[in-house]
Amino acid sequence: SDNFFPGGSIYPNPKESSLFFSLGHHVDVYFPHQKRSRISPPIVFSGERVEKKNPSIEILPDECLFEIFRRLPGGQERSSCACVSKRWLTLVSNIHRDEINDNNKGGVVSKVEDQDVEGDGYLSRVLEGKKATNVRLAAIAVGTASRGGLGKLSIRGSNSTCGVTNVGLRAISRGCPSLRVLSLWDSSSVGDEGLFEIADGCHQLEKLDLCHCPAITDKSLLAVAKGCPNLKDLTIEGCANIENEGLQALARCCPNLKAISIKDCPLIGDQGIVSMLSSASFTLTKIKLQALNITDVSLAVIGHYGKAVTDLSLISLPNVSEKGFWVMGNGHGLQKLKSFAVTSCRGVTDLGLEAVGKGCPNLKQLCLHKCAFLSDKG
Amino acid sequence: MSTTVPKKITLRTADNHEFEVDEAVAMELGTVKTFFDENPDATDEPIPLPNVSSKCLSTIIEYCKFHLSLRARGNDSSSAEEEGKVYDEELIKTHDNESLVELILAVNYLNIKDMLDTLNQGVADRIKNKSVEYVRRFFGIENDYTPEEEAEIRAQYEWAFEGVDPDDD
Repeated sequence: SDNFFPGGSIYPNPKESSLFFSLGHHVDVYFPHQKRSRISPPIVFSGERVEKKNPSIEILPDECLFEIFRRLPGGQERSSCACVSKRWLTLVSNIHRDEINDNNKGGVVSKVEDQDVEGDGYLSRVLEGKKATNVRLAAIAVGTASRGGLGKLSIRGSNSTCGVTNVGLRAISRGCPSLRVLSLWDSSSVGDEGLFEIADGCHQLEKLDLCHCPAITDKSLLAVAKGCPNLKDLTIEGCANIENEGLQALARCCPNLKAISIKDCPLIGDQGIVSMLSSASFTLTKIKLQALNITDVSLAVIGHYGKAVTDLSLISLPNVSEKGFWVMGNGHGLQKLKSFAVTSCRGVTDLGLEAVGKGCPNLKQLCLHKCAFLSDKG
Repeated sequence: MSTTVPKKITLRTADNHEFEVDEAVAMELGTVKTFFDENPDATDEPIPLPNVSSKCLSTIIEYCKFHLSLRARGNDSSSAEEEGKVYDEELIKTHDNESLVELILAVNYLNIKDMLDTLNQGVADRIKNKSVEYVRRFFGIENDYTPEEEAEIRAQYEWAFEGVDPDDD
């Protein structure tokens, strides 16, 4: 019923025309245009692009290749596809764990690797300096996904020409849902988008360490707060664009927050510390504050709400005065404080120290460095 | 809507062949269906499919017809399913890489989901358990890693290279 009409084709036989194609290949001028539509779908009749090779798998659009990779039965296959070319790596690394098609169970191959319990996250990887590139991140994401999963990732610095960006973190997010520890140092090209991805894909995150990442703002922390309720440990150093609001969100959403260390963030002030302490009053055990613009208010709040704090470290806080220490000691909240270290704070005086001593019955260790106004009496 | 006499639709391929097919078959092609959904009063003129060669289209039409007839049989699902599988396997077997790729492009353009799934699975099956070099050669892919990058990535994936099939070309 459905008839085949040869119609008015220029090429009576497709076989012949492909023969023609391979000949015409060397004679550019003579290249018949119509033929090209056969192999270059996105740019019909546009020529140029197709000249160099026969239809290879490379002309498939990304979404097709993606579909193919999704159907590979195991992590082993996906890993070796990732080695084929950068484009493949990128595509493979963008496959989300949930998107992997498992219809192939009981197929021809069943490797030991495939039977590993996924998601344990016992592997850890460190990328340093020149080696910190997106390609490597993607490689890690694909490579660790089916071998127990990545648990710890540290990125130290960034390759100057092709450094780690949000794209790399996306690969990690897709491939490493078991990630528990993420540490980003000196990664100026990683921005909020990257952290959004992490918050979106790595819900198990327990420890986040951001150091000198100027492009990361409060938005990242908000996303992490929402996506990673298991966060226990937060370190922020030299991130000029993180403000109080980010800390507030974390304190509100992460009931397990135990340790914070904040250093050298000009936009973080009393407000952030106050809300952090008041929200996480019963869990925070370790606090380290260094080179911040916080004032006596923060110390007062620590003194009052820091009920679980065992370790407190205050370093280079120029705006904290004697009164702050005095109030902290008299807040009677620091009942569990064992270790207290103060360095370069003008506000530590005999009077302040005495109050702290009285307010903290369990204090065992006290370190004082560079405190000019302190006499033996204290 | 189809009337008592099945409506025919003409499709014109990139190399100017025309195919006349039943409306039901044409509606299997997502792109064609969308076209008619959006232009309900389209005329009987041939629909140009500039991305599809006649060779591909005839394969695709065969496929659609076959699967339509399977579905029409309805309830004896297990045997129909089995037949469908055999057909699909045969389809993959009779195409080499190039024509498979070509077919995927066409099917992707025409938006026929089931067939695309089958084909993609077919390619995935060809890739699996093969060495990296083999895959590159097999599909004509250029290696764009620097030697250093490749070494690094291979180290990362060392375990993935154990037990691959020996290259058979």
